[in-house]
Amino acid sequence: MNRLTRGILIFATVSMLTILSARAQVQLPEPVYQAGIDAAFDPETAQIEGVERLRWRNTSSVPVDELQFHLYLNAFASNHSTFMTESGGQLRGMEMSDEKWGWIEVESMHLAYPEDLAAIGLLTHGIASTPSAAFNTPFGPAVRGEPGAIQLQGGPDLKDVEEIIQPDDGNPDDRTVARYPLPRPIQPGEWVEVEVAFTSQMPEIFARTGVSGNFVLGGQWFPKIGIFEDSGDRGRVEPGWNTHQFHADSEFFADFGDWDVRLTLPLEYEGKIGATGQIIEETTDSTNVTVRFQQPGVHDFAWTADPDFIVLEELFDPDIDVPAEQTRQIAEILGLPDEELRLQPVMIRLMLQPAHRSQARRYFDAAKAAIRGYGLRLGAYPYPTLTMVDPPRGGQGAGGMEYPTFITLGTHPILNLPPFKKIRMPETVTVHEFGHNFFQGMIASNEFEEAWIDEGMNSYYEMLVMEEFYGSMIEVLGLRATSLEMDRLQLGSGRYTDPVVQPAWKYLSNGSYGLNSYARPAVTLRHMENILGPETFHRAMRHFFQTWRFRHPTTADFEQIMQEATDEDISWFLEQAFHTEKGLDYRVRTAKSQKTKDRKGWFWEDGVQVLYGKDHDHRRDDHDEDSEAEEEEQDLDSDADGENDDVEGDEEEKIYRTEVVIERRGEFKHPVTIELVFDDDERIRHQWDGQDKWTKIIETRPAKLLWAEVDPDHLMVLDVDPLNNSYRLEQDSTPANKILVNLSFWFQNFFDLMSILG
Amino acid sequence: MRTFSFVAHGFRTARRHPRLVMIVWLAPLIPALILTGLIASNLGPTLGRSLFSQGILDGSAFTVFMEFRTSPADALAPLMGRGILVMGVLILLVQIILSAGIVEVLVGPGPPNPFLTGIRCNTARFLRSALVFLVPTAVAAAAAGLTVKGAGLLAEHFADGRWDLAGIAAAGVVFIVLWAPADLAYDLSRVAAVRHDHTSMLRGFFRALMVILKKPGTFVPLYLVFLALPLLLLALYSAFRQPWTPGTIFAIVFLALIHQIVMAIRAFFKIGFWAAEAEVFRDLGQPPFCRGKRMARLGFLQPDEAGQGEVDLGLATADPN
Repeated sequence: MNRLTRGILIFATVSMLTILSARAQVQLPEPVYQAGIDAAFDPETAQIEGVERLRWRNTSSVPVDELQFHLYLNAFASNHSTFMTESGGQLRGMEMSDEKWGWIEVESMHLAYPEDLAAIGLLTHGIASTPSAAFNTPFGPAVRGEPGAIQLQGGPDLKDVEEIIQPDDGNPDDRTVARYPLPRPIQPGEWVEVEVAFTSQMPEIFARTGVSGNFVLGGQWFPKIGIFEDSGDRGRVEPGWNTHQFHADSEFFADFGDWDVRLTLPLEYEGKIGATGQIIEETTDSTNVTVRFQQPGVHDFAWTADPDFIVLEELFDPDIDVPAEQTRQIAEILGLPDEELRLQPVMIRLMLQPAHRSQARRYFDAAKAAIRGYGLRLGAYPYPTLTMVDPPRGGQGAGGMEYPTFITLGTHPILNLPPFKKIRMPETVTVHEFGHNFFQGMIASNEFEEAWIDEGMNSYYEMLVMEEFYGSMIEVLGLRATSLEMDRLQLGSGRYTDPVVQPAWKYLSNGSYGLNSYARPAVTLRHMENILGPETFHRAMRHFFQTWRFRHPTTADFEQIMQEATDEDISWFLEQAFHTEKGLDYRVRTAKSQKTKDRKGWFWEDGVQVLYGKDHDHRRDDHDEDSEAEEEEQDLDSDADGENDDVEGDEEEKIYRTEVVIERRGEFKHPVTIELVFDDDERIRHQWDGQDKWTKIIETRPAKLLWAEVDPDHLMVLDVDPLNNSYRLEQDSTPANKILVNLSFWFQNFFDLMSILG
Repeated sequence: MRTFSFVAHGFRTARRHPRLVMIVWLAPLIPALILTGLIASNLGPTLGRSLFSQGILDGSAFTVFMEFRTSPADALAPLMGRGILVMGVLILLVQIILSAGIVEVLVGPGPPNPFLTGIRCNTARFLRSALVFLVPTAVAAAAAGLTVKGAGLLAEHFADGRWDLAGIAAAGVVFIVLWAPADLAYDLSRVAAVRHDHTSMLRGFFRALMVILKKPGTFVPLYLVFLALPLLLLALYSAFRQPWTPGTIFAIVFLALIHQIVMAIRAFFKIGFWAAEAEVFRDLGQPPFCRGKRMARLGFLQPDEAGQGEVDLGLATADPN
């Protein structure tokens, strides 16, 4: 494609995106900062030289006397960093290279205060809540080597006072957080401008960032300002910086800002660079290509480049890609008019490996299903673009990650082969990573401290979308499972070592982090949906999302909204499910149904006294003492015409005494429904509060029990052992026989294979 | 066309020995049933009492089984891991012993009760032969593994996962190319050992291997048939099985029947392939691959057979005798 054509295409795309933006229904957040970066990447050295210009506002109510930045890439500087120590040098099955480490170094940091900015006419409005109100000149990326709108070189170089700190574990070899004390505090509401020159060494692909051959994924590649929290923010008592070290089991936390980034790479990358946001312009000279991206209202910026990319684009058009029936169904659940669920167009840009070309359709279809599934339920995806990156073989460590409007995926050519086509790995990862644009992208929770809010909530909605669009998550060689089933299997025996709500680095193990951040909260939310009902639950979730969109909610905020959504007190559930290690497991311990012994003596039935004897039964009406009563006394063996039927030879009515014991095996206490099903088709339900260790149900009826079942409506998906939830008095061996027949065949084949050697 | 005549002869022979087919069919079935029975004693009561197990009949066997494996009722861990491996090794030994009898029958005419006589007389040398055969098997497996690994490195170098697929396919070819001649040599040397009552299995293996490598026109098509027929059977079974979810006891019984028909056909193939190899051996002139120290068999010593049927193998080795 020649440059003229590419230029026309960019113009057309920008125009379309402008139009799309104009149609945007969702208001993006006011930025806490504006970040402009001008960076050049050298593939030979895998280094980035960059300048970051940051307009940052103190949004708190107190003066801020230092700035804190994340230097995430330093997590890969050595094997002694906190990340490497905690992970053992491995993540998601990938190992860190011993030679190609990564790091980031701030070269200089110049700060201009409002008075400096006002003196040169850049700042005219003093304390203003928005940059457009505060600054005279529009924001743009810093231009290396050129004088900018202001000269920051004369100001104090904060690099001289840089202090590397370790607020979490005191590990002196961890350099992922730096503080810069200020000459004077930044007052509440004040804007400052900071120019940071930095150098980043990209590692070999590891932990979602780095270089593999010509492929580069730039994640957490620049000095990233932390969040200064006011008292009351997220339950905080004292104001202060929330800037955690980079841990093996944590992700990120940042404020919302506007981004304008210029990336320069060698010419071979022309047309093959993708990033957060929209391409504004692309220029080339004899050796390099420079691409400028803009995206307001996000809290991170990532990018990618690979000369081998195939770049495909497809528009998500709500008029075409959203079935009216789906909108109607979801609108009905939410109690909203269909029009309120209207979604926005999104230009989907797929940067695909040539080897995976045949899977492009899978990626696009999954992205559209996700845009629909999340958008209809929670609120429209507000950005005009979505960039999806398909990493190459060797770069899989960069896959399966989310950044605002930019997600990394993953697949393999083996999934093209017929037996494996229904292993929906590309679909699952696409839906999941897109979903993070909602949970963490817009619900900007603190991934360090409460990883479940983004991972768990997102896993729940991923489950919904996968079931809605695909049915199953995996179908191979006769094996089939849904997302819910796969998540439930991870619950194991319910002997959890940690609660769901826990700082990420404090879980017992990576496995516990994964379970308690992903599967367990996802199943918990599904459980809540079942118990509260789809309408109550989904309305509450939408309310939570729309209330806390573009903010930083905590678990407490979520719990408050869920509690407000229902008239019942559900604190007992929320406390156990999110804040304890308690597992939920109820079972039918025993069930028996035995014929009662021959009845002898007086029994009271429906207010009538009845004598059951050896030869005959006799009814006596207790309330009638006179002759009428005497007349009413009758031999029960008489039929309607008064004839006395001979007792001898008649069958006695069979009465069964049914006794069922329900046991609570887990520590999680939960009300349960128990259903008894009898051979006369009668179904009797009992409610038990589930508080004690066990309860006994006794029924005396002229029917035998067929089975007893806890949770007959299958609502309690958190119950870790569904097999013990029911008990049949007469075993049905058919299911076991089917498994055994198949197992026997597998074993036969295996032994037959072994015998080849004989 | 000779390939087809060898295979046809083999199948005709197999038809004449239904009891051999049955033995080969039973050999993996019995331990499979033992193992399954043990599993049933743990799995059966739990699934039999639970309504949740009905999901198996609807196609959710994997989920139900995995739920069972994570439940407190599960006691299958020892069986599913080491149990299967131990059984596999035992089966291997049993198969070697059975082969001793099978080959005696197929080589025939021989002593009365050739199957049991063969087991008694041939087992020791067949065990030695198996040890010899393990070496090329290991070599072929290692070569295949290295092929996969090498392809993986190429996949990373070229950033293209299709190299992985190519590597798997290539590994299969590498394995077959290295292993097939050894497999044939293993069988032919055992046939020769039984035919001539020789015991030098190591020598026999290499002599047979030389002959096989010199006659690719005979052995390559033959081995391709040995590969193709079971694969075709597998493909037919897969096509039949794929869309079907048995949900009733009758369907399950029918499925079990299909399974055993497939295994019986495989057993038939095995006997047929053995017999085909025996026919090839005869066609070659019954070379005494394993000639070494001659073992005298009580009641079967036939000194006038010495030298009969011997073929010049073109090997300039000194006769230790």
